[in-house]
Amino acid sequence: MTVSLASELVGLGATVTAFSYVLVSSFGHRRGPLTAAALLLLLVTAGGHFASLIEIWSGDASFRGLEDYTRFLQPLFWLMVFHTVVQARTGEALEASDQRFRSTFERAPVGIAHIALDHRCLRINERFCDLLGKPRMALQGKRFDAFPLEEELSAPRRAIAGDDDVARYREIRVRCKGGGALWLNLSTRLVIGAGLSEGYLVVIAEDITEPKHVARALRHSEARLRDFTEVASDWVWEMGPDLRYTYLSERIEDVLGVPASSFVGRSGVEVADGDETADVCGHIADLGARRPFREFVYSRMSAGGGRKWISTSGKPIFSADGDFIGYRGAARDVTAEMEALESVKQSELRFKLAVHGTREGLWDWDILSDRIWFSTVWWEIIGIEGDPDAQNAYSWREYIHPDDLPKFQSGLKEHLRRGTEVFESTIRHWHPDGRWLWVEARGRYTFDGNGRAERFSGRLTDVTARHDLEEKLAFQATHDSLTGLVNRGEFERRLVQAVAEARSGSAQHALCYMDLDQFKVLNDTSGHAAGDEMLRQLGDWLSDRTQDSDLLARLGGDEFAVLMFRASLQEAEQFARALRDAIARFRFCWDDQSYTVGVSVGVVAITADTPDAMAVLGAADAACYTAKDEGRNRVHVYHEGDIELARRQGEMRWAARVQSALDDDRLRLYCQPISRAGPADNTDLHYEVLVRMMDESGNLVMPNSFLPPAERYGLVTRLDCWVVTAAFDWLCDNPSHVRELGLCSINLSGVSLGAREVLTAIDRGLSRGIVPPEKLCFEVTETAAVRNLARARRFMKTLRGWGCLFALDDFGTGVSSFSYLKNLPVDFLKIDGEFVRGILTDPTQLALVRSINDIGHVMGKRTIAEFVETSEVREKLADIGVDYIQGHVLGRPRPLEHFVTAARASKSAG
Amino acid sequence: MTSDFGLISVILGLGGVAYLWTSRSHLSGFCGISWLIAGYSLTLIGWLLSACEMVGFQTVVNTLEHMAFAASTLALVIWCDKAGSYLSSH
Repeated sequence: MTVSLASELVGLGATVTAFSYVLVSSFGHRRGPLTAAALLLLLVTAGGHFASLIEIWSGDASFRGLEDYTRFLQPLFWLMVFHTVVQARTGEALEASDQRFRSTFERAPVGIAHIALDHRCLRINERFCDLLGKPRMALQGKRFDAFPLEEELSAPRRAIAGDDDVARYREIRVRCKGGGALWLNLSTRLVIGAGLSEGYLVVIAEDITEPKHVARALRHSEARLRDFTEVASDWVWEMGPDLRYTYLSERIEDVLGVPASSFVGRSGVEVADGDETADVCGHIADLGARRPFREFVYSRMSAGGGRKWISTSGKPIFSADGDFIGYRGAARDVTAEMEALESVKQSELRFKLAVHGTREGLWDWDILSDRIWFSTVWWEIIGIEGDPDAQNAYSWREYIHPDDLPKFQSGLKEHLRRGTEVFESTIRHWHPDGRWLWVEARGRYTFDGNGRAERFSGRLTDVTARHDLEEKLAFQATHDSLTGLVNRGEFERRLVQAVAEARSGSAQHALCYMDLDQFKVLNDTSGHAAGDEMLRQLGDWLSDRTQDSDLLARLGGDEFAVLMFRASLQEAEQFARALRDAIARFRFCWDDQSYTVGVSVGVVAITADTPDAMAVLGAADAACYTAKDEGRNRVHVYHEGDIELARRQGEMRWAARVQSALDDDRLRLYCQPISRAGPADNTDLHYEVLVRMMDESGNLVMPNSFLPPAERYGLVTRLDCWVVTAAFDWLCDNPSHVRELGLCSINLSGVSLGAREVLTAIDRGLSRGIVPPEKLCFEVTETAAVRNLARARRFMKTLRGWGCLFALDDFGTGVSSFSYLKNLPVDFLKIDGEFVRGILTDPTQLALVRSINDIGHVMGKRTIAEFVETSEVREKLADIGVDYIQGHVLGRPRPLEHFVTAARASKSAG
Repeated sequence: MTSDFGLISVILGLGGVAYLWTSRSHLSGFCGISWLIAGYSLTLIGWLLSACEMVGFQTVVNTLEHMAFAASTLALVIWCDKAGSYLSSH
């Protein structure tokens, strides 16, 4: 009983304590159903404990009933407590659910609104307000008019009719704040309440502006890609995992003439049917290894028959799971490129052949990258082919001769500055074997669009051989080939300079003019080879005895000259005498014969008074001739007022005038009649052709003035040629006169005997066929014929062989004997006029004329007496028996035309 | 009569158990619910002891009955404390 009492007491105390706690604590402050239920339960429990305590304490069983009642009520209050707990928990759950809903509603990324059936906006979330660009207060509770919803809001009637209670979707475009437009994806669903008026429309709006734009961009991109594919020269393709085509764009048909569909299902290797430039095995290996490939080129025949070259590139494609699903790529027609490439290859090949075939080294300097390329021939020319080290270290500039480098660089600058067509420079280039090559560099700059030099390229030619040849030619042009001494042209050029220097008063020089004596003897006896060899040895010998500062030259034939710079006349004379003495000691051996040679030297001073170089040469030449005339092997010094020299110079001037007259065609043909010594006979027209010269002023010049200088200075052969040619021309132009002509005599000088030019002129004239050769008689002086007897005989025989006649002129003046006449095939003897003039007064001359005439007749030759000036002389000559006469008694010499006209008139009168 | 009340209390108590079973999802997680259920279970034991008191061992059973009710009251007090703490924090 004590335990029971204690238990009840504890229970009562605890219950009271709890009751009090509930009342005063926050538990009690909530004053909700749970608090009430708890208090009632505590109260009933306390009542039970109290009744039980009293019963035990007092032992009064009447309290047992109170206890039982309280026990009986306890289950109800326990259930009440449990029920309120359940209710509290359910409320909490609802509240949490509502909270979640609100949160979801407000924080949803899409716009949500509840629109009443009368279009009133019941509820709208923040996102919807943002989408519409309006504040919530402007929308919530107001009529919703942001976009039409009549269709959706009319659904309830159909929904009730069972037609439509499903969600509806559509896309609309609304204006948003700021004037922009939004695309909304609208989802609506009607929520029907108990009555039609309680329903509302749930509207969910999702901003699909960006997806819309993306979709539109995607469509645009797709259309663009499709357009590109259709118009592009390339075509695209796709292969499946079995490496067979699954798709090709239509463009391939334009190229190959085969529909794209015909390739579908075929492998890439099957499509190629020609030679591939790339490694097919490598390409197949790429495909097998799923590697991307670029610019694989293959060929196949097109439907049109031509071969097409195709370049294709592709990359493998994989699924999201990483599985290989094929290849995708593009291809293009590269036929034109391949043909161009082939053309370039051919061009390159030709270029290489040209580069290797030419003997010119090429260079190409890329200025922007400062890289320079030299061809193989370049290295060959400069001698470092096959030496990479030398080639790498090669610097063109360092190999150029230091003397040529400034010229080379200035030429380059000039070309660059002035933009001249071509840069050209001939320079010396060092060769590893130690010599200097002469090379010709020729190149040009090329410029970019801004006028900036970007390349400099050109060629290098080894012109060493040419340069040597030019030097040799230049040497030959200025030097005598036999002796190696300076020739006349170069000597005269240097002489002009020396005269100019002397005339300026800065220096005085001297000229020694040398002519070998008896050189002709050596030539005639031992031949020209011996003469040439002697000249060569003498040239060397003279060189050894001439100072380096002086200029030794061979002026021609056996003539030499020494130009002594800064030398007085006395020094020159002294040098000339020493040279003469030295030459006298010179011995020339030929064919075991020893020859000596002398020299005549003319010495002239070159001073400020010297007019010109020609005057110096003329004076020196004249002085030399004077020395020769004075007995050879002498030195003659030219002085002002020297009479002999003046004469010599006069002859030289005449020779120059003859030369000028020949050049200017100022010679004229005259003629003098020849007639029988007996009574005049007009039927026989016979005359001698003479030559006259017209001077620069048109005055007549007699032959005794110009013929001797012409003979002395070697012009007479040319003069004879002119006479022969002019005579033939005139006769051929007057054929009627030729028919009347008895005989035409033409004088030839002794020098012209056997001259090829004269023979040629005669032959040419006869070959014209107008002048019969028997009407031509050539006159040669007795002296000339005897002096060149053998040559004269050959000449005469030649012309007589052609039918011409010959006359021996001036017969009797020479020292020859009559025996020569036997050896000379002449037709006429012309008795010298000196004998004829005096036959009336001088019995000796008469006897001479008679004897010449008699001997001539005995030898079968006809005679002609010259210088017949009176009729008495003529009669006397006729008495003696002279055949013909010539002289003033018949007429003075006059121009050929006049003579012929007069003769024709006389004949007509007779 | 006393035993009738005891039996009725047991029957009502078992009805309460049925209610707890059906509402267990709502009750789970509530603060100190295990003390409340423990208190109800002790009370139900007390009711069972009270119903068994007439069968024999009256004194012992009665003593156990009072002890069960006292323990039940203590459990109820503890629950009140737990619930009070919970409610004051919410």
